[in-house]
Amino acid sequence: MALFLATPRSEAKPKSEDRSWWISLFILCAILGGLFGLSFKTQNAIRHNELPSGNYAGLAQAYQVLKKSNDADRGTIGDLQLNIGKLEQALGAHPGQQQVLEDQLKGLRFQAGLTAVTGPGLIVTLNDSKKRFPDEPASVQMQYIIHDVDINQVVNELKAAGAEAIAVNDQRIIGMSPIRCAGPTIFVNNVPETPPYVIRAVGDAKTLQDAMNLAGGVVAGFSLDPAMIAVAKSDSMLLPAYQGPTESKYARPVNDLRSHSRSLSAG
Amino acid sequence: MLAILAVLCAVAGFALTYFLPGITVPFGDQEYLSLAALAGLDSLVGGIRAGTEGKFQSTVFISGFVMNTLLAVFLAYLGERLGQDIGLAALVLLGGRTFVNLSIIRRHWLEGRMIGQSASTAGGS
Repeated sequence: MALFLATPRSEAKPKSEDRSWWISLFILCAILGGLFGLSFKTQNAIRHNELPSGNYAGLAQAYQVLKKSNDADRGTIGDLQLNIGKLEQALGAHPGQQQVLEDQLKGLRFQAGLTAVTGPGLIVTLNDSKKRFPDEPASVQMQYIIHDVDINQVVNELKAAGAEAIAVNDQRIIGMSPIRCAGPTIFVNNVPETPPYVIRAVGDAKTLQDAMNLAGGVVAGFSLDPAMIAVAKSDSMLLPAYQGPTESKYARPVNDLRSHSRSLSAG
Repeated sequence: MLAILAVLCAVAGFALTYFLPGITVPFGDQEYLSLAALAGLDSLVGGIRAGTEGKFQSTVFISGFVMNTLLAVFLAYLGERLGQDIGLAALVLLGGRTFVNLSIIRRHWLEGRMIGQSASTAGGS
């Protein structure tokens, strides 16, 4: 390294320039060190946070185990809800106040989506396009597949048009129902569903149909391939009850709103 | 001495960005960052080589540093847009140049030492 300074430069340089290039050298070294530090840190973070992309076998096995326990849990939930229904019926055998309570409970469960319903309404079927474009890039091919946003849009429009109960394939949609893409599958109520997606909504069939056919609305959005969406009225449909978990871990009911807000402002 | 101070600056810069929790980079931009770091390393080693040959010019060095890092990132970005991994070409060439420059530096340094040794033995005997 002593050679670096001792070797005579091939051209004479003014003194002021000598001083400044040291400084720029130091600054550049600091920048280089900074770049390396950032790279190291980000790479560490990436390794920390992302799933091990190579270990598909392990992930697949974990998925199978979870799926099995999930199905078992769903069975348990169904049994428990049946049990609850039986207990409520037994309670209703005592006349008087219990009957009033039971009627109110039935009405609430109906509104919450915990009972099967029947009625007239609309059936909207969403399906992936039959057209195939193998030469197009992925971004174009994606436009010919049904995504969770499409189902969400249809459900939202139906709700806005006054649907009283909505089901996607065999899953009843309640207030907290998620509809979400994970890879090639759409999960409704965290249950995987495959196309065609049959969305049934109980309500005034004419109003619901008009909502679908609004200018710039749902049906217009499928202009690339209109065969992806089909809308049909129905005189009578059966929608299943919501079968997912209903327990609440974080939300607690507030019985008296005034005293609750008083206690909040006091604390 | 100059070299030790420069290394200290590099270590300081490294420690600053590695240990400060605030400075992060989104995961998608990681490959551009490492390419920029490699380009910086290559121009630094090139500057050291020019110094050992006596042909060091500060303007060339500084402009080369800045331009190489920016160009490497731009090439990688262009490659991603076009669908071809042009960043790979930048990576290979930068690494190759670093190795070549390092070996030239090593040869100069060793020659200087051997000349010095033979001069001292010639003077001594």
